[in-house]
Amino acid sequence: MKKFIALTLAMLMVLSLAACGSKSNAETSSSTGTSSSAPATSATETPKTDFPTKAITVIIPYDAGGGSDLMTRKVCSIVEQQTGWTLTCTNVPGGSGATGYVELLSRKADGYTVLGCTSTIVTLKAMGTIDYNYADYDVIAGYNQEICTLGVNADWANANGIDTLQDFIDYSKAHPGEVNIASTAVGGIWNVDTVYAASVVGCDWTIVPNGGGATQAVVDCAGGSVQACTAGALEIWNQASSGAIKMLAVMSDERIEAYPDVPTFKENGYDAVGTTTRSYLAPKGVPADVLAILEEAFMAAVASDDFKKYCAAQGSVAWNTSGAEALAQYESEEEIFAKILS
Amino acid sequence: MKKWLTKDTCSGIVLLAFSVWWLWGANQINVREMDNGLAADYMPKLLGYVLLVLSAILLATSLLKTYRGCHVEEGKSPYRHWKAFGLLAGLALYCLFMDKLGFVICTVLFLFGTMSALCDPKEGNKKDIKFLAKYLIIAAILTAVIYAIFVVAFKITLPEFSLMS
Amino acid sequence: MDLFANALMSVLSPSSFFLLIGGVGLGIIFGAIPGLTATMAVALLVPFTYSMAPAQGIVALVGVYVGGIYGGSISACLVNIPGTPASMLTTIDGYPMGQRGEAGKAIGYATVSSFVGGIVSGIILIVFAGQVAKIAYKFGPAEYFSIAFFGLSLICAVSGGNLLKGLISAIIGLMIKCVGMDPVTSVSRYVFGYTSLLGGFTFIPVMIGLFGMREFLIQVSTGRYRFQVEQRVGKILPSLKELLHEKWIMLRSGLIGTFIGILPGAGGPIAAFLSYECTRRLSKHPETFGKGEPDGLCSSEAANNGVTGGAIIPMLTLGVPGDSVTAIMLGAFMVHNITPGPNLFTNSPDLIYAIYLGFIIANVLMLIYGLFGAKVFAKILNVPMGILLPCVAVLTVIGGYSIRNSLFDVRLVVLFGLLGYVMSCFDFPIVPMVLGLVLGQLCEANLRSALVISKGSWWIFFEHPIACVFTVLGLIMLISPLIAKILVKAVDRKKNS
Repeated sequence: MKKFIALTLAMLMVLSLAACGSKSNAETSSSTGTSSSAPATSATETPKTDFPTKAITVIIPYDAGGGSDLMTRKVCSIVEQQTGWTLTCTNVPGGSGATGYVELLSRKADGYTVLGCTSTIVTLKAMGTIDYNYADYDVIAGYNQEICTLGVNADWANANGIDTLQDFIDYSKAHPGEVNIASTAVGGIWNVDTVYAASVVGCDWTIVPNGGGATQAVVDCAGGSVQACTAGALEIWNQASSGAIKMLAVMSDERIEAYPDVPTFKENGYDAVGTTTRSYLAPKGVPADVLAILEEAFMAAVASDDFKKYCAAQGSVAWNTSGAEALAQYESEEEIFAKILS
Repeated sequence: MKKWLTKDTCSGIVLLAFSVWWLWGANQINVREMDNGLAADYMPKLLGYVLLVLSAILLATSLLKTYRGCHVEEGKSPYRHWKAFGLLAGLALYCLFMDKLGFVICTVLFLFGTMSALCDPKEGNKKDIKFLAKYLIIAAILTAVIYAIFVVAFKITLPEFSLMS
Repeated sequence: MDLFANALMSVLSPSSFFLLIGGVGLGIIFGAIPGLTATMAVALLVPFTYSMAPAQGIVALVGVYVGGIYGGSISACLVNIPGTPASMLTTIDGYPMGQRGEAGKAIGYATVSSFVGGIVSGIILIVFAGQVAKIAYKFGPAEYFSIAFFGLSLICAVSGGNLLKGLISAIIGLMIKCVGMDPVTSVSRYVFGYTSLLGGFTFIPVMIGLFGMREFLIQVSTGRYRFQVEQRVGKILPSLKELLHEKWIMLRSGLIGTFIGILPGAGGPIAAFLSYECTRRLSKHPETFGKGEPDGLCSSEAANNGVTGGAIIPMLTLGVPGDSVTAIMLGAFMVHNITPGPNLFTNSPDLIYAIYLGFIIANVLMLIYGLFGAKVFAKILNVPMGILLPCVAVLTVIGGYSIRNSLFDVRLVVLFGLLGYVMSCFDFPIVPMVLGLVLGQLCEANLRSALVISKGSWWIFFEHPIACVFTVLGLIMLISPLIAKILVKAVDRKKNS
């Protein structure tokens, strides 16, 4: 009799743990610790759609702590504050985002799983790494653009009288093959942008890919192993402020707010625009009304002052666009990338 | 025949075969030509060839040793492989069912199974239900503690019970 | 002096101080549990720091970092499983010591060494941060490759005697690193359609599998777990005299650790390995290493904590992370809208001083935790292995899963456990393989970048002074055993003829 009771008690314990396990998991694991899982109080014009009724999972296809990860989480936290929804962020890193992109496809297209992507959603298919690209997903909204920036080693620049972008280009043309530009891996966004810029500008730069990522490339330049480097604006500015690097130009349409003294390639007459565009994706087939609710929520978060300040401090651009606009951006990026990457 | 199949000879053959397969894999790589640097298949090929040479050396020296008869009798191996494979089977089941049954149930079952299997036969007859119940309770308690620490305190997500969904 | 006083006030304020105490403790727990790492602890804690003042939050993270790297040594000594990658080398001498019944001693040595290593790096951080950061600038692709090459050449020594098998093991490790998307040209290698492999074999599950799961399998297979050595009661910790005997080793290893920490991209495991090797080769009794030699234990632990202070230097001064944990800490800075880098010293000197102070205090707290906890930790080994081992297995599974919420990674743990078991059965050492994995990235990516810069000329590794030094050292290390063998054979032949 005693043994029977002991066994039953143990079984009950186990089952109750399992039950509260599956319930509390959804509640307790939220990205900023807010434990409210109240249904959406979305102020949309479609009162019929009761979305969301539970937590939304946000897949981040990059490592925790990285630039994309932090930015996605920032937007998610603002959405949570504004709407009262619960967003759970999980990191699924690998292959510059490939693993995460493929993972998203295996989820249901009900709006409860989304993903924060970068422009690798365009490049990965162009390189043949995966078989999917932005066209296989529903684009919810765009939220950020980071601009490719060119910097040169300050000592080398001063020794050769290089002060502006034009000086640099002239020098490169006069000494073909001598200038090394450190960048990310071949097929990485900054690297592709640099190749594109090289073709627009007409210079014979040797682009040195760096397995350690953009930060390593910038340190290489600051240290003098290479003469120049391309990376995101913030990474270059970090070294520029110590004087090790000169920030020559940015590849955007207009000057970046945070760096008003740095000209664009366009101003100098070279139509080279290089950005990485971040947006939110969902598996294809999400119902239109759910998609609209998500789009509105994310766009509202991106439009907030909080996020604008955050982006400005990063030297990137808060890019408040609808899903359709983001999609168009990816299409135009694909035209550029496809030429370079094939 | 038995005396020829020493440990080193076997591992030498396996490694040789592996390095051949590896080199085949290296050829499957769609190399993107780099202007000055080494292509993506350089390192794999280099490693493959080095391993080929090294495993050939291993095989050769081992065969030579057997031929010369100077192979010291290794004595009884301390490993009881079937036990290890039993554990592996348990682990494989644990992982396989994790996404269906969820972390909690699988862990309790796994802990219970392994602890009972590993326990000292001196402590009691394995068929005795009181004895098994003791381990079941320990398993349940440990799982509860682990769950509390990781999911509740540290907010780490673990697989949930999802047979229904 | 004003700033210093301010910093002191802010760090010692009740809330910050309790945060620090809690942070170090949390870090130690995370570090000690195989599968959970210091990196994970810091990553998990960052969201909690959003609501804190920058100084408080960052100092708490520093505490977690220091505790985490130390914590790994506990499980390394107790159950032969490194709690964090940095403690891999600690298993070599820490575990045998524990098996002799001297687990408390092992933990005592580890604690004090970690403390010394941390303080050494802290002093360098505080006094020399600016100058020393420039070292990071001097290291370009050629230099990094030469260090990796040098490291690989040293592997012969951790082979436990059999050079050939050690080399094979290391080559296999390098091969494992090749799987996935090539870091330089983004080409898929050996992926065969498994998108989970595109990022390569995730390192932590592989490490846990090779050390932890394999250990479990071996214990079960050989039945070794039934024989538990009684842990010493009474004088558990090493005596002051024994500790002082190790002082030069601790100091030197701390310096090596600091230096490696300063280099972005090189971290704990590499520092521990290089320092262990250095101590072993300079020792008068190299044959005792691997059997519970305090020298080995101390050098590995002092080095891996030396990395902590060293890694903070480039993070603060250049805005470049020195290792994976500092990479996440950088993110925490950004969230508070603070940009580390040269400007940090002029814009927020109070934050800098708070970090310095917090770092030193964290190390002291770690020492206290460790010394008092040693008795408790050692008692863990008195738990019947039949219960402890399955628990450790479950913890390793959790650890493997939580890196990227992937069951695929859990399967990796089991798979590599099997691989490690098979390797042990055939007498192949596993440490060279793991070192191959760790050094592989540094090695290949930088080799190729360097060759692009030099336009294909391999002489670049001799033209750059720093690179030349390490390359030549590496070549010497590789060739000397061979030459030694040949010479010995020649001398023998002469004697006999």
